[in-house]
This record gives sequence, C-alpha cells and structure tokens, in this order.
Amino acid sequence: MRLKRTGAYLYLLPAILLLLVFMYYPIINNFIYSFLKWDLFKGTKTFIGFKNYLDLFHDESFFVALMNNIRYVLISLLFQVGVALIFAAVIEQFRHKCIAAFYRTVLFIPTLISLTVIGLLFSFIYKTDGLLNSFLQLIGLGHIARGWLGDAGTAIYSVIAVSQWKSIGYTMMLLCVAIQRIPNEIYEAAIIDGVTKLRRFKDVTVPLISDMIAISVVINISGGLLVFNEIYVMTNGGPYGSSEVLSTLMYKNAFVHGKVGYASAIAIVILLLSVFFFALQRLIERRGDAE
Amino acid sequence: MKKIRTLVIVGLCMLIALPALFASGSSEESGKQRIEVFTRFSDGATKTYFDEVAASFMAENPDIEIVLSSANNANYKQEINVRLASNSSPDIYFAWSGVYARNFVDGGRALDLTDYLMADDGEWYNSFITNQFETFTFGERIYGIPLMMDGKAFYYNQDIFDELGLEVPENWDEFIAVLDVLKGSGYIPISLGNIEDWATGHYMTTLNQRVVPADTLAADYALEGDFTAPEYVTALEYLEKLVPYFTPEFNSVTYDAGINDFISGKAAIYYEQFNQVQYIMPAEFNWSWFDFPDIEGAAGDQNALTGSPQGLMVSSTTKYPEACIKFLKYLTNFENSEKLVAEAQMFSCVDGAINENSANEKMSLMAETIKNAPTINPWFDNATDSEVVTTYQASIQAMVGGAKTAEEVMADVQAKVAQVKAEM
Repeated sequence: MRLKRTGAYLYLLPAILLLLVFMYYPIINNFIYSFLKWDLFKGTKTFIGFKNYLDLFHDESFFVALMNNIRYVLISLLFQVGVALIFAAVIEQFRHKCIAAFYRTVLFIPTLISLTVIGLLFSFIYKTDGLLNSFLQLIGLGHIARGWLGDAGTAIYSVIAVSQWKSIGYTMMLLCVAIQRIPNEIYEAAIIDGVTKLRRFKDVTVPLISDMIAISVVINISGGLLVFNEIYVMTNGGPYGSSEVLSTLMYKNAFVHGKVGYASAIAIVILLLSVFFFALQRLIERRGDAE
Repeated sequence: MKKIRTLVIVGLCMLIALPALFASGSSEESGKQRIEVFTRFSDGATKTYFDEVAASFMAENPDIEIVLSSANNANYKQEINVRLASNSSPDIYFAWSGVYARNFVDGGRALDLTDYLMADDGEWYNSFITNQFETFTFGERIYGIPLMMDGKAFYYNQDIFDELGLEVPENWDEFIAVLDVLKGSGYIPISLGNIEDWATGHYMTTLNQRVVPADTLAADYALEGDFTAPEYVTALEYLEKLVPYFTPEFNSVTYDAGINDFISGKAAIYYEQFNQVQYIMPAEFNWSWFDFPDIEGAAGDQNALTGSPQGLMVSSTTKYPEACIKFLKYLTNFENSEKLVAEAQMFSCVDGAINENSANEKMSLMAETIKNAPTINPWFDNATDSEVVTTYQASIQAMVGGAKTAEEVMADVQAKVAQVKAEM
C-alpha cells in the first residue's frame, strides 16, 4: 500500500516540479521585486518597503485601469455567461440537430481567429470612414458616428465589444455541452407536469448546469482581470490612457519605463484581485449549495 | 518489479523534463566568435541589407559568426529592456541617439568607442559626417556609431499646390494662409494619423524648439528644470491652431492611414521623416518638401533641424569587442554605406555615401539639408525621460482631441517631472 502511494507521489513529481519552477517561483520572485526599486539600465535594486504599493494609490492611471478591468469583468459576465446561456438554451431547443450544429459553429468560429487578425479587422470596422459608421449613417444614426477607438468615451467599450464577439461562442459551447448532458427524462417529466419553457429553463436547465456556469464565471472573471492582447493590439491603452487596463499598465511600467518594482506591485494587485473574486464566487456557490 | 517499473517511468519523465527546465539556450561552442546584433529592422529593405552584409562579412571572416535578431520599431525599446533585465545584452544593439543612448551609457551598458574611432589618426571617425557623432557623445567620449541620419519636414503635393496657385510658406502666417486655401478646396490640408500619440509628439519636438528658448529646453529635457516656462503653453497653442487642418478624427487614424491619405492625393501636406521617403516615393504626383515654418518673434531656435541619427552601440559586457568593431567597420565602409542608401533608401552617415550612384536627386538634396543643419533637435520621445514623454504625449493627444487645455497639459507634465525627480 505504502509502495503504491510512493509511486503515486513519484508520478506527480514532474508536474509539481514544473509548477514550482514556472508558477510559484516567479510569483514569489515577483512578490520580492514589488518591494524593490529596480533600475533596468543600471541593474541596481534597492529595497523600498511598501512604497510601490503606496504609490499605486496616488497613481490616477492605476484607478483608470482598475475601473476598466472591472468594466471588462462585468460586461463579460453579462454577455459571456448571461447571453451565452440564453444562446445555448435556445440552440439546444432546436428540433433539427443540424440547425443547432450550424448555429453552434457560426458562433464558435470567432474563437478560432487570431486576435491580431481580429484587432486589424475591427480597426477597419471602427475607423471614421469604416463599416460601422457607414452602417450607422445608412440607418439614420449618422450623428453618433465617430472614430470609436480614438474617442476616450468609447475606446474601452469598443474593445470590450470585440472581446464579447470573439469569446461568446466559447462559453456558449461549454454550456451547450452541459445542457446536452441533462437526461431527457427530466425534461419529459417537466412537460408532463405542464411546466412552461421559461420555467423549464429556470428550474431544470440552470440548476443542472450550475457547475458549468460556475466555471464560465471563473473563466470570465480571470479573463477580465488579465486582459492584455485585445487592448494592446487595438488601442495600446489610448487615447490618452482611457483604455488602459492593469496588464497594459504593468507592461508599460516594466518594459517602457523600466520600473520593474512598480510593475511587480501591479502584478501582485492583479493576483490578489483574481484570488478575491475567485474566493467570492466559491463562497456564493457554497451558500447556494447549502440552501 | 512494479516498483522498478514505476521508478523507470518516473525517471524517464524527469529525463524529459529536466533539460527543458535547465537548458541555458546557448548553442554549443563552435570555435567561432559569436556576435549577436539586435536591431529594430525586422522587415523590409533594411532587414535585407543587414542580412546580406552579415552574410558577406561572415564569408570574409569565417572565425566570426554574426547572429542577427530584431524587434519591430514599436516593440524595440521594450525588448531591449527585457534583454537588459535578464542580463543577456546583445553584443551590438540599435539605439536612437540623445537621451535614449545616454541611458545605456549611464547604466554602464555601453562600450566606449572613442579609441577605436580615433585609431590610425581617426581614419574611421573621419569617414563619417562628423556632426552626427554629437548626439552619441557623452562626457567627450563617443559611445555610438551613427548609421543613418534623419530629418523631418513637411512633404507636399506639388500638383495640388500648382492647381491652387500656392507657394511654399516660409513663416507661420503664410503657412496658415496656405492651409486655409487647402481647407476651402476640399483637400485634407495636413494628413495626420495620431492613434499612437507620438505623431503629435513629433510636432511638439519642433514647436518646442521653435518657441522655447534653447537653454531652457535643454535644461528641462535633462530634468534640471521643471517645464514652467510660459513658452511651453504658447508652443502647445500653436499646435492647437493646426487642429482644424488635420485629418478629421485624427486621434482615431493610424499612422499608415496618414501616409496613405497623402500618397493617394487626398491630403496636400504630410509631416514626415526623410528616412521614410521610401513610403512617399510610390506617390504618382510631383512632390517636394519644405522645412517647418519659422515662427517670427518666438524665443526658440528657428534653424535647428528636427531629427537625430540612429546608430549602433556595443555592449560593455561583450566577450569579443574586437570582433564587434571589425563588423561595425565593415558595415560602415564606403561600399556598404552606398548599398544602405541605394537599397534601403536610408541616409547613411558615412561621408559621400549619398551620391549620384546611390541616390536620386531628391535624396541627395535631403542629405544636404541634414548635413548643413546648424543644430540637431532630437525626437521628443528620445529627448527626455520616458515617463515624462508618456505623460506629455498622452496629454497632448487629449488636448488636440479637445479634452484638455494647453495649461492643463503643462500642469500634468510639471507634476510628472516633479514625481520623476523625487524618485531619482
């Protein structure tokens, strides 16, 4: 028995080693760096205690970035969990499986396209004489046409919209798979009892796929807090910092301004926020289970 | 038996994993001196030029291996910073001159090249247009080899100017008068893509130079001053005066779209570097250029040319300084410098390399303009601290977008300067 257990630990060893080297060691190192003033050019490192963290609270761009991340999370939850759930439920209602498969494929395809390609594509759509403004003019809404990525009021929402378009198919597919696993008998029993479609969705579908919904929530929270590529490709945080998020702010501080210590403090804040939201989600889930 | 099998499998897993964990990434020693050259030329004719010169150098010097690597223009600064942070500095690396190059020198990352340049009665040094060394010289020592010189001017569509009977403006008032005529004719007067805020930053390079006293400007860029001179606000107000003449919604327009509007004939004027002339050349109309107009009565330098040289520096930690110098001498010999001009349309800093064999008449005239400039005014984004530049350029972008006033821009800059100085 003991031999079996020793063998199991040995099998786990490579994975644990990889985790330690590539995950926990950098996190610990990053934590140490966040207490340093590290000059990249000179290679000097000076211990400055919590100064990097205190500076965060005086940095206006940090709060702009934080708010943008929160917007990202909330809108992603609305669309990639809420709307994706509705899409999944509707698609799985189709009698003809080939129609359901068609819609699943159409909605999933954007997930497969490279983000750089999508960024370029939407830069053309969003530009002043682009597709979106032409469409708005066509339907009589020309007065709201603008350069969507160059307007501080719309840049972050324009990028978030692209993100929803790209990723909604992914969570929808996860939810579709979960719905397909629900035994048909349960729906048949509900139909015999005269339960309406809406109540079947609310009282049968949603509770039985709650695990997958929870996974989708976690994916979207972490995705919203860690978002980098979309912003970097489409606006690079502009115009005038209005679409900055924590990851782009961290990147610029580390690799443009050479402030590695300050960037490390931002990285720790991102980590703490992720842990906080994950713990909150687990807490809500457990309370739900207990009730 | 089971135990042995388990141990064998785990051992195999470890054997597979360990090299991945601890591999240093370096190639095996081949007996050659391996020199890594890291540049911002990741595509196009300039990359091809480097590839070909490195290949011919290695053919002539079989004991030296040149490894070329590059990052694109937008990412170069970040990538070289990462290389420095990980203590894996390339042997030879690209650098913009001025404050940007000084960072490497102050950090002890750059090799002093003075003695190499001055050897043999300064033969190598004198093969260059020597004023191009100015912005690579710190404390009377030279740390960079200027590879390509540059300048910035307003390119203009001569056909449109002829059609509307316009003359090249020589001062600010004439410039505004020309722009008014162009605006009334339906052309975009000045093409601008400012989605990346450095484009208006480059305007401010010149406007600050024209409006702010030279001594004040030099002291403030070196962070010895605090950017409180009222002329900074005046300079920004001049930029605000140009806003109605720029491409509509220019804060949403990309740099490429800015060029395209000019070469497609939609826009009449475009502010651009001489080194980007290869993108102007496809234009199917007659074009020329004029210097940024003088601002009469302003306290700044009206004659300095905006645009400093770009070059190569040698790492202070290179194992093979002699091999690095050998390669740099080869790269900047007369033949290869002519090749740089002819094939990449870059303005070589080597004296005489721009001639009737390597360049057309326009390039030769541009080269003369750069060569004869009394003073060189480095790009704004390389002239001062990167954090100050980031704040300055972002605030300028906000101002030209109507979200800030000139006074608010300078208040942002002054606050950032104070913060940066406090952290020094």
